[in-house]
Amino acid sequence: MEDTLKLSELLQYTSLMVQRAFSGFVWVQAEIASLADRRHLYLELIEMNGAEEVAKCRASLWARDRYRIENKFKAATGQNLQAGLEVMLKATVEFHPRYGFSLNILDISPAFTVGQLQIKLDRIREKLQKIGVWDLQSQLEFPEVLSKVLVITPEDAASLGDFQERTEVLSEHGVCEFQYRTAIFQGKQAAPSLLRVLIEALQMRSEWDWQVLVLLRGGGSVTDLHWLSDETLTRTICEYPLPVITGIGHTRDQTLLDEVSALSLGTPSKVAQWVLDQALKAPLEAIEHYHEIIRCAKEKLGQYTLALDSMHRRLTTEAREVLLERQHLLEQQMLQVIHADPQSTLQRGYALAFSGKERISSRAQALQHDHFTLRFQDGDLNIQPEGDPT
Amino acid sequence: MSFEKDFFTLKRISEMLDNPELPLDDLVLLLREATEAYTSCKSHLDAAQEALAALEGAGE
Repeated sequence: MEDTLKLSELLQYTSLMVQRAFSGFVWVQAEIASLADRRHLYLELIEMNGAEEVAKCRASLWARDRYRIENKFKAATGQNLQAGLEVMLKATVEFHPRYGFSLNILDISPAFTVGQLQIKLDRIREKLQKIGVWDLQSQLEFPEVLSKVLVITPEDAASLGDFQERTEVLSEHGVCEFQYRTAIFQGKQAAPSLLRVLIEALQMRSEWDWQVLVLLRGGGSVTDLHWLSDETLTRTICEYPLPVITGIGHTRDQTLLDEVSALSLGTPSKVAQWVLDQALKAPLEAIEHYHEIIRCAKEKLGQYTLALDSMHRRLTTEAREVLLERQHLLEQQMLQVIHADPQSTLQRGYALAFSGKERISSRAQALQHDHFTLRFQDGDLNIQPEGDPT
Repeated sequence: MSFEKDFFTLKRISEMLDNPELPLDDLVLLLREATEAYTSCKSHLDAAQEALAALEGAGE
């Protein structure tokens, strides 16, 4: 029983060992699991191996250091410490017999958090490129006639007001319809929430066949936006069957969703302008087509009229020529008829033989008559054939 | 979607009229079809022009 220690003795001894082992400060990498703000900031730190939690401890950021450290972190990353962030903390290690193991935070390395985000983005990019889905959205075509747009925004987003203000003229005039859905764009629930809305959006197409999906969110810090750079969410957008347009943040704060979407326009107002241009493009083009049709039709009808006029002129001319030719031919024939008249023959100095009213046209015929008449231009002469000398 | 159908009808006819060999009978049929499509989507086109005018008015 001499080896038996009281619990307090054991824990005080452990505390002493911890103090000796970690006499100065240490830099610790961990994920913030949760925070409790009670003037001092109490954190729960974890280390995950995939979905499995492999280490966990408490940490305290005392009020005297809190504002300096928080301001430093916010200045570099654009936001406060929050659950889900990977952090590198400078801390002293403490083991208290009553409160157990904890860290006292002395400082933080914001560059680590930003760097971790970058590493995560690079890993997702590489993976999605490797499986061949990275640029699928860029291969989709936008509709020529834009008339139904589905918009997803955070709840109570100021960006939605800007967007609606600019595009309401389209819905008022019935040129383009809009439907709106809300999702969480920040924090751990962002990816699951957006995934749910994206699936619902596809399901609703059986009732309302929207053509493009717009993701709107008005800017944000680098770490705010990193919630949208989730692998599953990014892949879902990559493989989405319809074009996705993002107006998520400012151009310098691109998320993976901006990189993979069919069109990334940066800000909600730029998306609104794009929708305006696209929705008005088809009707204005239709008017141009109609005017072009009228112009072409007039031109063609003019060409047909000219062609008909030309044919008419040619027909008239050719008919006249044919008539003249025929007239000439008739005149020729008439002359021949006139020349063939017996009177004309007599006038040309020839004589015609008759017997009574019978025309004698050969010597043999004449020999058959004891007399016949030879008619000359200036009178008749009675002839008595003398018979055949042969 | 009626306007979409009319839009593509007008676009197709506009392209077909580029054909220099288009027979007169076909031209007459196409003109009739274009007139029907234009009449059908006229209200949409008017609405778009009004929307555009409102936007231009707001920008001045």
